[in-house]
Parts: sequence; structure tokens; C-alpha cells
Amino acid sequence: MKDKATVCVIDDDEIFQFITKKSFERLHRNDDLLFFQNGEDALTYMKGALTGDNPKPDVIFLDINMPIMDGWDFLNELQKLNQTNAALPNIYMVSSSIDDKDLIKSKSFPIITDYIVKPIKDVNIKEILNGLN
Amino acid sequence: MKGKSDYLSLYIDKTGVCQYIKCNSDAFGEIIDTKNIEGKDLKSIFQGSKFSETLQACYDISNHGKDFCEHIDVHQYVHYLISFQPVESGDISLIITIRLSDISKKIDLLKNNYESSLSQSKVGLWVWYDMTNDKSWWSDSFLNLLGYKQDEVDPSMKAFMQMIHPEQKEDFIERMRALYGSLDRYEEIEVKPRVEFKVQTKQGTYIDLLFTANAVKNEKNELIRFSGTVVDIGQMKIIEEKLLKSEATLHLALDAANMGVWSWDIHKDQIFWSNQVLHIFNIEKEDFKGDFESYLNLIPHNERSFVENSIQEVFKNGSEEFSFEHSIYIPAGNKKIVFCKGKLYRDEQDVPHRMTGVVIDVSQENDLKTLLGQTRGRYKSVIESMVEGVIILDKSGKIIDHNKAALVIIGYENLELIGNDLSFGPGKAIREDFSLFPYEEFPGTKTLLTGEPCKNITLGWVKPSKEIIWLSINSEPVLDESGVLIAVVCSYFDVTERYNSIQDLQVKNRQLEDFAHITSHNLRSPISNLSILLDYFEAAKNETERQEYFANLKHVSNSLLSTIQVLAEALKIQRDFVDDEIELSFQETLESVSGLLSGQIKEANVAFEVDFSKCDKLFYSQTYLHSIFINLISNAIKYRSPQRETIIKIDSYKSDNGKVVLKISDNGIGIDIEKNQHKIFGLYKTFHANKDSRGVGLYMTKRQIETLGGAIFVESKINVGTTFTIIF
Repeated sequence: MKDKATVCVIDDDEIFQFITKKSFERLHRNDDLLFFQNGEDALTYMKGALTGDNPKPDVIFLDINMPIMDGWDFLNELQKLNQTNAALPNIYMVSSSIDDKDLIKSKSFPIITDYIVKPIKDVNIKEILNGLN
Repeated sequence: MKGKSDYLSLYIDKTGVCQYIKCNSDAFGEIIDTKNIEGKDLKSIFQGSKFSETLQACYDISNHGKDFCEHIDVHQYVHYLISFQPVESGDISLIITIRLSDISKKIDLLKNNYESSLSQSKVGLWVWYDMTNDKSWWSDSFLNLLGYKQDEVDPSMKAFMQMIHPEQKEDFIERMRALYGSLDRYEEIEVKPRVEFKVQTKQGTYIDLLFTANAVKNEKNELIRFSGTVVDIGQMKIIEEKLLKSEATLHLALDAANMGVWSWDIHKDQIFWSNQVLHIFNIEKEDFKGDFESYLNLIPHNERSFVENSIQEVFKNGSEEFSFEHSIYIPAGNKKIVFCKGKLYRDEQDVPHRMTGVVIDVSQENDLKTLLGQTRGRYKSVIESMVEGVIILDKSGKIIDHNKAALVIIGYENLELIGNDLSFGPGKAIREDFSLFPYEEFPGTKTLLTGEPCKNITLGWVKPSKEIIWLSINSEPVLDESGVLIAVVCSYFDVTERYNSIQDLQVKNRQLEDFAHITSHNLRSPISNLSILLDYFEAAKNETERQEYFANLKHVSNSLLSTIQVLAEALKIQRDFVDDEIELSFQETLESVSGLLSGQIKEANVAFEVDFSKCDKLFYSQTYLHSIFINLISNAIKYRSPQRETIIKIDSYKSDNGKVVLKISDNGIGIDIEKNQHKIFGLYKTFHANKDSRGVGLYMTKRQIETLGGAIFVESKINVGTTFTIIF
């Protein structure tokens, strides 16, 4: 189990960001947390990550509804960027939406590891991180 | 017998001189000079006669008057029976009698009347002249009938009786005896047996002969001989049978056709009706007097004069054949329609004397005609009474019939459709997206081309008055017996109300879906945040941490409250909650909104370019119109471009279909319309990292506009500007 993972949290909800930060603190780990307000900002970072300019994240927590660029558009753009089919981080869709349409849509993206319905607690995060090599 | 038969008798003495004559008629002057006969010898008598040759021959045959001899000669269609009767009475030794034969008269009558039929008939003559020795004379034609030649049979009554069919022999003898007996009693009554007998021919077959006999008496009223005729009626029998048969067939045919035969003797005013006519008129033979008046009495009063006139016409016009139809009363109280066809016969003076013809019961036919007429009438009244418009096209696509609704629905009350095709007229067909509906794709046109029916096609129709209605159209091919398309029936009805309510429902449905989406996203997020924050708050290790969680809990709770308020606002946007639509001025509304937003407008230094000249007024909800102006103008200010002066253009006009359109354009930063088309009017959808964006305004605006049956569209170009178009 990796003690120090790089984790991207892409969500415009400041409260969610706060909670997530606290959840990681409660796990007493040394992970690097990167917060992005929308898909566009995150995508800019990912461009650098794919070229090796930015540290490559191990896990991405991705919200669906965001201004400027939402989760789905981020995924589309990320696929477009990753022409070389380089290994991508584990991407978790994290949404408060219990609408089946969103769940079904998430299945159409093979790069999505799982769909998680909020709330997301420290225990959920621990499981995810434990699964990392 | 006297007076019945015309005769001339010459009494010849032994020297061959005519002593005197006896004659009861002038009929012989033509053939013999009766006035100069007495005292002349036979030779000169014979020479002065038209029968000289015959007389001479008979004289020879009778052995110069010593034997009996009889011969028939024909002169100008009259049969003369010439007989040589040897006698011993004083000086007179021979009586030559020329007799105008009764039979001959009849035959001639027959011959005159029925020349052709007589040529087929076979008539034989016989004389039983010597009853004591039973000697007879049979004419050649008689012998021919029996199949004998002149010398093959010795004619006698006995010989004849032997030829009669055994079963009928007794009867024949009886009759001859009766005849003989009656003569014995010197009765003046004329007994003329007229009997049919079967007689055997030489060949052994039996033929049917009609046998007649006359008794011939001398002046002392003594019976001197019998004479008569035999007629071969075998052929007649065949004809008679045939006639009977064909008559039966005719009856059958007449029965089958409900046809009766009638005949009217005009002079006597006697009408003969066959049983079938009586049956048609439903009257017993005894109840029908048989005159013209009683016939007329069976005709309803209002048709009497018509029948009388029709018959008078026939009399006048000299036309022979005629026909007419009229009704009759029948006892059941019903009416029947009969068809009379007949022929008028005139006498030599050209006076009508007889009418004959047939009469047919055509009630059923008439019933059918009436029914057909009624059906057509009914069909017409049915399609006229229909709410649907019905148009019938022929196979070339030309309109051949339609009902009134067809015109009213499409606003063509004053136009003539018949003879035109469906593309005719000032109206326009449109699709649901308001693009033109091509003529080739009209249901009627399509059915003409494909032969397939079209069902429930929805088509928008712009009436000549520019009003838009929605039609549901069906088209159905009409095929003949061989399956060839001969016409197309199109029916359509106005579904505008339904169409609009469906549109309304679709809007509502979309709004509900949106709402469900909003609830799941915008309510669940803060609630899930709340639950975690509470968990963490409880588990907080120190006061600082607790304070931190509490601040966030407060924040979430506030945002949750505001979200609920927004949702409540959104839910209020429903037709039932809208204030009354009133006439509003765009200019006044803009001024009022500008006042509310004056701070922002001043701060952003916004320039307005406004043109409400094409359409300055609108019937609408005041609250909603305000809300629309506030949201769109504040949006334009919010997303203005820092690089240029902010200009907001507002103008209004009326569309082709009479709807009020409002356009609000800005020259702001714009949005990527291709990416965001589906989200632009969503709740809490924002496209800019702008702190003031709440993602509520456009959602509310769209909801309000659609609730009142309108639509809002957006066009935008990044860094050029955004235009919102509202169709009220």
C-alpha cells in the first residue's frame, strides 16, 4: 500500500472540498491533494501530467456538475488528449445525482473506474487508496 | 244442304244435249255461259268453259257419262267439285254438277289468311258416292297422306274404317251412324262430325287425321252421298305441342320477370289481363271489371293524368311502341311501381283499335334506385355533417369533391377547390419546426404516388389570415374491383388545441424532468455534505476543529435554504399561478426594469439601442415580462466584455405567423453554444467562473416563457456576443 498517493479532487463545491480534505486528514496519510474548481482547470493540469511536467495523479475524484467544463466534458477532453493510450489514473465519478441517466452514461466511459454517490466518507477513501499498488 | 252450297247442274239427255240446268248461284257465270247452255251439246258446252279440259277428261273417265266421276279443279283459288252422275230418269241420262265446295271455301279462306302455313298442311278430299256398293273416291292428296298411290287401294268406307286405329274404330262407326241416322230423320240440322282419328298408313305408322263429313242430298232430300276432308294434323299437333311448350316457357319467363301480358280492345273497351298482371296488381279476376276506367282507378290520383296523357300521346303521335312507368295502389296500402310497355294497333282507317303489351313490377328495382339515391344523399349529408374536412382526389390529383368543413378548416371559405390540386391557394403547409411542408409529401399526394394510406400525419397550416393551425391528416386510396387506384380520400381535422396541449404537456414533462434532476443534484449535495459535516463535527477533537465544522454547517444550511427557495419559486411557475395576461408596453417595461437595475447599468456604462416600433405592445403576464427583462439584461451586463463598451440591443416585431418576437442582444463575452446548448437554460448551470453566477436566471426565464406557450432560443459567439430570441 502506497503511503503517499497523488489525488485530484475536481469539484466546484467548496464544502465538498473541505470535507474531502478533512477525510484525508482523518486517515493520517501523506497524500498530495490537488483541488480543481472545474473540468477546465483540471484538464490543464492533466495536460502537464501526461507530458511529465506535472506529477501524475494516482486517483481522480470527478464531480459531474461544474461550471465552465463539467465532468463529462472533462472525460471527453482527457480521452482526446491521451492519444498514446498512456496509463490513466483511477477515475471515480463522484456525484450527488442518483439519476440513472448519469450512472448509465458513466458506463459508456471505459476510463471510469467507478461511480460513487455522495456522500463520500473517509472509510470510502481508505478502501480506494488501499486498492492502489 | 240447300242454300249452303253453290251449285250448277246440267241435265244431259241420251243424245248428249243439255235439256235444262239448275243453278242456285251467279258464281258460275265466270266459268260457264249459263244463259246459253240449254239445248247445246256437251262438246260446245265444254268448249265454252274455263274447265273444258277438265270436263272433257272427266267425261272420258266416266265412260261417256256411264260411270260416276268426280274431280276437283282450282280456278283463282276457288275449289270446284265437278261430278258426273249417270242417271236413268226419263230422257236424262247424266247430271253434270259443278259445286263450289264448302271445304274449298274454308281451305281458300285458310289459304288466303295463312298461305304459308297451309302450304305445310296436307288436306285430302273424299266422297262416298255409292253407299249401297260401298264405293268411294279419294283425292290424290288423301292417298298421299296414307302413303298409297292411285291404284294401290280401292277407296271405300270399309277400307277407310280398316285403317282407323282399332281403339278408335268403334267411335268412328258410332259417329258415322249418328250422322246417317240424323239424315234419316230428315232433320235440317247440319251435322258435321269433326273428329280426330289415328289412321294407319301403308307403312303401318299411324297419323293424326282431322276427319270431316258432309251429307249430300238430292232435291227430294234423299241422301245420295257423303263427302268430306281429311287433314293431316300430325304436324299441327307438333306445332301445337311446341306452341304449348313455348307458351309455358314464355309464362315461366314472364313469371320470372314479374311480367304480365295485357291487351286492350279499344272499341269495346275491354282489357284482358293475364294472371300475372292480376297478380302484380294484387287483384282477383272477378274484382277487375276489365275496362280502362277500372284500370285508371288503381292508379294513385296524382299519377292518373300522367298515364292518361301518356296514352293520349300514343294515340296522337302515331307511334306504335310506347312505355311508361307509374305506381299503383295495392290493397295492403302499399304502393307498387309498374312498368308498362306496349304496342298500338290501328285498323285500315288508321283508327287505334287495340293495344297489347307487357307490364312489369319494378317496385324492387325502384326501391333499389331510391335506396341508391338515399345512400348517395345520405353519404353526402354524412360527409357534410362531418367535423373533419373531406377531400376526394381523382387519380391525377385533381380535387373532385369535398365537404364544407374541408374549406372552413383551412380558411378557404371563399375559394373553389374543385378542379385544383392540393398545392392550390394562398395557405402554406409547414412542419413542426415551421419549415415548409413540400407538396410532394402531402399525405394525399403520397397516397396517389404510392397507393399506400397515410395515417395521422400532423401538418401545420398557415391560413390565408396567417393564423397557424395544426391538422391531423389521413389519406386512403380508393381502388376499383381490379385493384387499380381510382381516387384518394383525404380527411383532416383541426388538432390545434390538442397539438398545443401536447406541446404544453411536453413542456411540463420537461420541466418535471428538470425538476427531478434539480432535486437530485441540488438538494442531495448539500444534504450529503450536512450529514458528513455533522459526523466529523461530533468526532472533532478540539474546539478549533469544531468551530471550523460549525461554520461550514452554517454555510451549507444557508445554501440549502436558498436552493429550496429557488425550487419553490420554480415550482410556482405554472400556468395556474400566473397573473392575468394584460396589455403591456415594451417601452414601459424596459423603463421599469432599467430603474431596478440602474446601479448595475451605471456601473457597467451600458448603452441601449431599442426599437419597439414594429410591435410595441403585448398581452402577457406582467410579472413574467419583468422577470424576462431583468434576467436577460442583467445577464448581458454580468457577461459583458471588458474590452469594449457594453451595448444591449432590444427590438420587437411580429413573425409571419402573427407571433410577437423579442430579441435581446449583447456584445459580451459569449458562450460556446455548440458545447453548452443543452445546459444553457439548466438550473445551477454556469459557464463562467463568475462569482455572481448562480445558474438560476435563465432556468427561470425559460420556464416562465414555456409555461405561457412561448419559446426562447439563444445564439452566441465567443467574444462577439449573445442574442436571446423570445417568441411569445
